[in-house]
Amino acid sequence: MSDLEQELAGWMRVARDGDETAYRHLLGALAGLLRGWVRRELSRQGYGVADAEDIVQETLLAVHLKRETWDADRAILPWLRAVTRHKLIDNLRRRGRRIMVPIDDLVEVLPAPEADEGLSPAALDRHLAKLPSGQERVVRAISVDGLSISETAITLAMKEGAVRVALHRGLAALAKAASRDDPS
Amino acid sequence: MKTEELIGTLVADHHRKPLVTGRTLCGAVPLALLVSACLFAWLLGARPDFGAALTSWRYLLKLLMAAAIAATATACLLHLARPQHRADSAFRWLPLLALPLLAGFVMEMAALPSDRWLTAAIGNQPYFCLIFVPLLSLAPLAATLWALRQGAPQSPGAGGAMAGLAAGGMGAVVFALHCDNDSPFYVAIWYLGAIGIVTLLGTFLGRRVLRW
Repeated sequence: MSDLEQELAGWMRVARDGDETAYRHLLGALAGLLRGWVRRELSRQGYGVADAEDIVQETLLAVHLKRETWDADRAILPWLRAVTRHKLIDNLRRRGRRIMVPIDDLVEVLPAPEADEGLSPAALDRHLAKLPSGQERVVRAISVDGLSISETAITLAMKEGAVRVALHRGLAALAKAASRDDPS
Repeated sequence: MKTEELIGTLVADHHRKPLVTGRTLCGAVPLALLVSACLFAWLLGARPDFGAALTSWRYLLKLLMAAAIAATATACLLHLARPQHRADSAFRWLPLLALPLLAGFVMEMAALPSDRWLTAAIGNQPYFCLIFVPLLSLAPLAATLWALRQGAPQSPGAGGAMAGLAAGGMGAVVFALHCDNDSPFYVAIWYLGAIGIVTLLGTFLGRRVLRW
């Protein structure tokens, strides 16, 4: 079993018991890994990597919302590849692009820790603007302003529980909007 | 939104555990069966000779087949809920479920003179089956689709078909408590036809609600 596999699976297991730091480590490492997979696959299909970061973000969102579909007794990398592959295919099809080479399995690539300079992902912001205003304010406060749940509750004069619910619904709605988006 | 910002947001949402297909099935399917049972009691009611029918191999085969479809397809839902599982491997073995029915078919051909085959196959009021099995499957279909929606099925259409098959099996079990056409000929045509309708409906709905 590879070091990467053990590291990621270990973080996810600890994260499942509620450890936020492990979860942050996991998602940070995943972002680099996904970026490597997505860029490599986009160029293998003959497309530019301009949308890569959007796809990375949509995949991170899917990993987050579907994290309970990973069976902790199984390896985590095949599960991650399956989620990434699903989001990649979904994205390419929605953008009206043909899949030239079958995406059978994502090969091992070096993680790409840094996002591209100058290529700022735009899809999530576009969907964010369409959320119900309560959810949008909460998601923005936490993502863009970097506030915690309790700070958001004070700033928006809401109860913490309501902030949590709005955040979760907002993220689910973002994922849904992303999977139905038809960028032309 | 920068990716770093997104990660911070996901971490903030981390304490909220997502629902899981298995647990959702355990909660939603019994509830849905209760709804179907109420519909059944209101519209149909059990066949008067229910006790006696339980001693007939034809009736038992009918119940068994419907229950086996419901149970197997429900178990397959748990498999399909994981993104790394391909749908075709789950569907490949499903035709095996028809084997007992096939055996019943042969037994019926031996038991009945051939001039009575058509009457047995058409039964009385076959359209009843085509209407009530789907009707009694609606609540179970909502439950199976809802449960699979918590998962990450690779193919929404195939996932929806499996949800439909499971729900169709459940609806058929409930309807079979009323229906007194027990010939394997009848079951093969009308029950499988009705379950097929629910499966198609599941495919159609799955393509809409199971995307993620």
